Amino acid sequence: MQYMVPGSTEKMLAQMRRGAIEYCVLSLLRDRDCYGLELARALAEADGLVTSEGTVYPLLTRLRREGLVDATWEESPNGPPRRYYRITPDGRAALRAFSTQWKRFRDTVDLLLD
Amino acid sequence: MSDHLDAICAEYLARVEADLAGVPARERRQIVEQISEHISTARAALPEQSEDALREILRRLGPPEDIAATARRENFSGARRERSAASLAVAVAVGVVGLGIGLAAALGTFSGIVSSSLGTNVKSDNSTHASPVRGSPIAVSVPLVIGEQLSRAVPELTDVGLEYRVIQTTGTVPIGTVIMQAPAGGSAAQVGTPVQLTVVGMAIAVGVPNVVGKSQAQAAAVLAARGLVMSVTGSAANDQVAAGIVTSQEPPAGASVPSQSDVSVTLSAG
Repeated sequence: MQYMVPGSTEKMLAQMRRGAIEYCVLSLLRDRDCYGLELARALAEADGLVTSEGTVYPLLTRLRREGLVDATWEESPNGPPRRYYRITPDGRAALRAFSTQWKRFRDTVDLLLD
Repeated sequence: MSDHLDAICAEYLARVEADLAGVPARERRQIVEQISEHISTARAALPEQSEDALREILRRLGPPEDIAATARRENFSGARRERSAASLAVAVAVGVVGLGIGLAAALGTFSGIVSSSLGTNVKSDNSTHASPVRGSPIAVSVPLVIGEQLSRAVPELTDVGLEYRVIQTTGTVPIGTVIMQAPAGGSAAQVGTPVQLTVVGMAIAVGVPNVVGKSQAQAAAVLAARGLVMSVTGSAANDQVAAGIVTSQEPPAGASVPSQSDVSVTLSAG
């Protein structure tokens, strides 16, 4: 009861990140467009956000489907052309709404945990 | 060596695709395409193409089953329902624009494609005009969209960077179904290439009636009854025919044109 069984930390993190990760993607796109590899690496390098780079793509696919992100092709100075992802006005609105709620939620949880 | 590395990539992508079984086709295709791009971009940045370096790229992407498990948790179907009305509206608007362009550019061509006879009747005389735009060297695989509704086909094409043109025809399959495409699904095309889609039905083909010999008012009424619009292009002196009577028409009687097309008439000036 007092200790965490192995594996459950991972499960707990998975549940926590599920609700937040799409807003992390939107946040990465807030100031500039990114191509897939950049986004995947940034999220994979942020501690605990995604289990592997490839899992970013189903999420990006849904964000495009929902119109929160769109994609355009651009030439690359080296290598193949890249698909750049861009946050849409709907995406910005969703990000603003989440940021507000997230801060309140975080403060409430912090208050109870302390 | 490069072939060997390509084979490793292809095998990985095939596993991703296989594991994504159960995810809607469109999303499955998008995910595989994006991962394929990820690998290409990462490989282009390698100082040297080695199997170890490639394996490391794939290791960081993660096991295909993890990607598939993530994909299954995403609620693609919910998102689609939300957006389907808007997408359809766009597709219909595009169809109307396509119709306008088709008419303005070549009514004759259009008449050849749209048939008033029952059943599918399509002529492919002008089907392929896949000229690249902006001299772009980017090649993509053209999605196969035959059999799909236009509202689904359009985002599949634009998602991979292709453009599209809509041509309408009559047919026995439901309205809005794509029955022909050029270039074909699976072929390579450069980004920006317009894919010509032949779609059933938003324009209903009608036969042009004869209005030569009728008065302007009668002609307008006859054409309106068929869903056609009369436009008077001019009048010419004619001592055989009373003033105000139609002396010629274009397209001629018997031609098939889309509903709401213009029929130009010339009147006698007497």
